[in-house]
Amino acid sequence: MNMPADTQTPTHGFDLQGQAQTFVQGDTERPAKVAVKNVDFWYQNGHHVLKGIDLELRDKTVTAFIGPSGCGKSTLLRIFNRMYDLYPGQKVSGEVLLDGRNILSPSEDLNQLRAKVGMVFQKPTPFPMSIYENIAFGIRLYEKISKADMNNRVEQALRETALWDEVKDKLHQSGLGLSGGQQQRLCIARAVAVRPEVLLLDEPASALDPISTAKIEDLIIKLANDYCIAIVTHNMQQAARTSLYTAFMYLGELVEFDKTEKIFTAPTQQRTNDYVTGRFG
Amino acid sequence: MSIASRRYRRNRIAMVLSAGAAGIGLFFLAAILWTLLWKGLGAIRPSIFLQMTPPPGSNGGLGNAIFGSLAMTFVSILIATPIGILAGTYLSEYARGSKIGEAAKFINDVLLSAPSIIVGLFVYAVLVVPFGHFSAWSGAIALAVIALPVINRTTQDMLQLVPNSLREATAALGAPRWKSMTFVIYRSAWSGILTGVLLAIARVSGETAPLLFTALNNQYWSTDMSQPMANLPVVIFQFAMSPYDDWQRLAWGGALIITVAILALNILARSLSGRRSS
Repeated sequence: MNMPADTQTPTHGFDLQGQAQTFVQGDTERPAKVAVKNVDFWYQNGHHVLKGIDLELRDKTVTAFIGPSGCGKSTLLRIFNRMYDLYPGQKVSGEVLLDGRNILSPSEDLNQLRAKVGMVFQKPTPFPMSIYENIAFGIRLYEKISKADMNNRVEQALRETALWDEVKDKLHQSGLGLSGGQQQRLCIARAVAVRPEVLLLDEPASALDPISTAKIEDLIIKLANDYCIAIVTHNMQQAARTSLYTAFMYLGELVEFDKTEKIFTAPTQQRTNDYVTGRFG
Repeated sequence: MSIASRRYRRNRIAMVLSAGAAGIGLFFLAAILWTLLWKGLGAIRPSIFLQMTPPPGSNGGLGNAIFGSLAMTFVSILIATPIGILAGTYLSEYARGSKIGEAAKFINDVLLSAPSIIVGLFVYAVLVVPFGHFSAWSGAIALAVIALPVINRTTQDMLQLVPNSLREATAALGAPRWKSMTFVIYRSAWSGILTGVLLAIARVSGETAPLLFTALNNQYWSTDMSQPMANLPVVIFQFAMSPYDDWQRLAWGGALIITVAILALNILARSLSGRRSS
C-alpha cells in the first residue's frame, strides 16, 4: 500500500493456464466497502442456510462467490440489498456494514439502500417497455431531471455497458425484442444508471451463449473501475477471469476466502482444492 | 396377439371414442348456430336496430332493447372493472398466503359460480323493494355483481403469471411497491386483464334472470336509468314465449344479435390472449 488507492490501476483476473498474467496482484488493496460480520440466515421453514459468515468486499474490486448449488452464495448476495425482505418469515442475524453502517437494522430505508446496492439477476429481466424507458425508469425514481439530461444519462449508461452502438437506432423499441445477451447488458445498464456504489451480480451470464458471456465478463472487469462488485457464479473460469478475490462456500459455510489466484492455485482447505479441481460440486 | 398390435387396437378405440365425444359436442353447437342463423337472419334488417318493440301484430324492432342492453352492460362494467382489478391485485399481490386472503379468494370463487337468479333476487331485495320500482340502475348493479368475480379472478390469474423475477428486479432498483405495480407489473399483465374484462362483458350481456328482477322491461324508448329499461335477454324471453309470429321472429333476430356479439367478444379476447403468449 505505497500509493494512494485512486492512482492505482485496478487489477483483476488472471489466466488459469498460467500464461500472460498481465495483471499485477497484491499491492492494490482497496478499502473495505461492505463488511459481513457473523451473519446467520434462516428460511421460513427454519432451514439454517448461512452459518457464521465473515468477510469483506473491497471497493472497486470484483469478489466472486463460488460453491456447489445450495451452498448459500445467492442467499448471501440477497442479504446485501435486503432482497430477502420481499419474503416474510426469513430471519437473519449478525451485521452487514456498508461504509460502516449496519444495513440489517430494521430502521434501514430499503429503497435508499437498493439505490446504493444494485442487482442483476440470472435471467435477464427487461421491463415491458422501451429500451430508453427501461433505463429512465430507474433514474426517475431518484432524480427529477430535464429531457436533455435524461437523454445524456441513458446514453451514458448504454455506453458504459457497451450497448450504445447496438441499440442507438432503436431506443424506443421494446426492451423485450433484444437478444438474451443484450437484455442482460440492458439490465446492467439499468442498474448502473442510478449510480449505485455496490453491484451484485447473481450468475449474470449463466443463461447466455459464450460470446455474450465474454462481453459480460469484459464489462464486469471494466465496471470494477467504479464499483464494488460481488458476483455469484457456477463457472470457475469466470470467477478466475473476472475477480480479484474469491469466496468458496459449502453447505452454508464460508470455507475459504482469499485472493482469487490463491484459491485456484494454492488453496489451504482440502474442500476448496477438491472443488476447484472439479472433484465434486 | 402381439403387444404392438394390442396397443395399436387400444389406441384406435380411444381415438374413435374421443373423436366421437368431440363430434357430439360440436354437433349441438353447430345445430344451435345453424338454427339461429336459419330463423334469425330473416329478421335482421335496418329496422330491427332502429324501431321500438312493437305491440303484437304491428311492425317494429328491438332498438330500445339493444340500447338498454348496451347501457346496462356498460354501466355494470364501469362499476365492476376498477373494483375487480383492485380486489384481484390485493388478493394476488398483497394477501398472498394470508388467511383472510385465502378466505376471500375462496368466497370469490363461490360467487363466480353462484346462480345468477340469486344475484337478481339479492339486488331486488336491496335496491328494487326499498325504492319501490324496477330500474336500469339496479339492473346494472346486478350485472356488476356477476361481472365482479370474473374480473377479480382473471386479474389474480394474470398477475400470478407475471414472473417473480420482474418483481424482484423492480424492487432491486429501489422502486416502491406501488410504482412497481403500476409501471411494470400491470404493464406486463394488461392484455390478460383486458381479456378478463371482455369475457365479463360477454358473460353479463347474455344474462336474463338478474334483469327480470331489476330492470324488468319497457315497451318504449327510455334512456332514464332510474326507470325500467328494455333489454335484449328479457325481450327475447318474453317474445319467444308469446303466441305471435312477428314477436317470435323478433326474438330469433335478437338471439342472433346477442350470439354474434358474444362470439365477436370471445374472438377478440382470444386474439388478445394469443398475442400475449407469442
